[in-house]
Amino acid sequence: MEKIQILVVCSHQEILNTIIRLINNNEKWNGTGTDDIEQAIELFHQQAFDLVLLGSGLTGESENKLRKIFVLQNPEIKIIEHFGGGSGLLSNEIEEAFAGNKNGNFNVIDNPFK
Amino acid sequence: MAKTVLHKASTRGHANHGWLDSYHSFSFANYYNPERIHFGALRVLNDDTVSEGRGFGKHPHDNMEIISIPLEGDLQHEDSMGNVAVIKKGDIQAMSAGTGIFHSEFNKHKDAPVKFLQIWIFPNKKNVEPRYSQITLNPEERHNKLQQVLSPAETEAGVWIQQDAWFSMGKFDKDFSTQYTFKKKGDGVYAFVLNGDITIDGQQLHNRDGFGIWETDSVSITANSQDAELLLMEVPMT
Repeated sequence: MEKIQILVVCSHQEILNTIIRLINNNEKWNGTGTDDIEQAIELFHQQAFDLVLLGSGLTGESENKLRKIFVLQNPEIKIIEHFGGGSGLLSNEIEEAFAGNKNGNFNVIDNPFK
Repeated sequence: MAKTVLHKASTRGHANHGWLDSYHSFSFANYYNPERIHFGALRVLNDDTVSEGRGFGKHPHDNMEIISIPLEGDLQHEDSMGNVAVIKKGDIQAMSAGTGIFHSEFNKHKDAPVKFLQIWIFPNKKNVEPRYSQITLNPEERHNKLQQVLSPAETEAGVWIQQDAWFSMGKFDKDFSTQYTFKKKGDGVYAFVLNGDITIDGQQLHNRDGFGIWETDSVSITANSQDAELLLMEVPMT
């Protein structure tokens, strides 16, 4: 069975490592992470991802840029904000993304932090 | 007309890891219920019991307001900002994780479990500088009164967080009645019974029941048992 491919973009390296480790602990998921916006865009071009997690440290401008580029390239891509830094919310967030529950996170689709 | 949601204590998610016995009012870790994800900005309400000398090793958080309220026993906290503290019964601690923080939480004692609430609130601004605050509450200020224990402003009573939220606690004599008036239009209040029996706006609640109410401006509270204790959490709903 193919694993769900998850791209994680987070500027805090230790937290990024934690998130990737937690994702890869789940046999159904495979996580790829970067703390660099341009590398995230490059990775997205190179590989088909099922889900993008946006973690801490990204500016609103960076998040919006990533959303636009990712959605243009793949209108079906699911993009969610990860809250908590590799916390007990992570698996919920991923499940919610695939359940299509837009209200799973507090205002998950539109960036609530202007 | 006010809208409500009732979460009976027995309907919470439950995970017993031996050293940690945790009840989740909202989806968390392996407990996933799409009907129980959040109440406005209130995302996590965990009712934790940690065994003697055990606890959560160093782990990260970011972009979340994390509030800890010990109910019995003491919690040893250490974090990557250099804070080392014991959060005792009667204290409240708030941590704005912001851009990222690592911390550990252990039961300070080797001879008794620690029971505490861990509450997570979505912040209203991301990537703030992480910060930490802790205070000791005067129990007399919540005897037959609602004591504010958390707010959005450093200048107000209680600890403060990066969100327009207010927490109040009360411990009431039997038949004591009061009213809580919302601080901000459009907010909701999630009530969590810490002990005893309480009626809120006609809804009878018992130990560890949760009750959310919104699209109203105030709620009436009546204690139905002696030493009934209540935590009220006012949060934005959108």
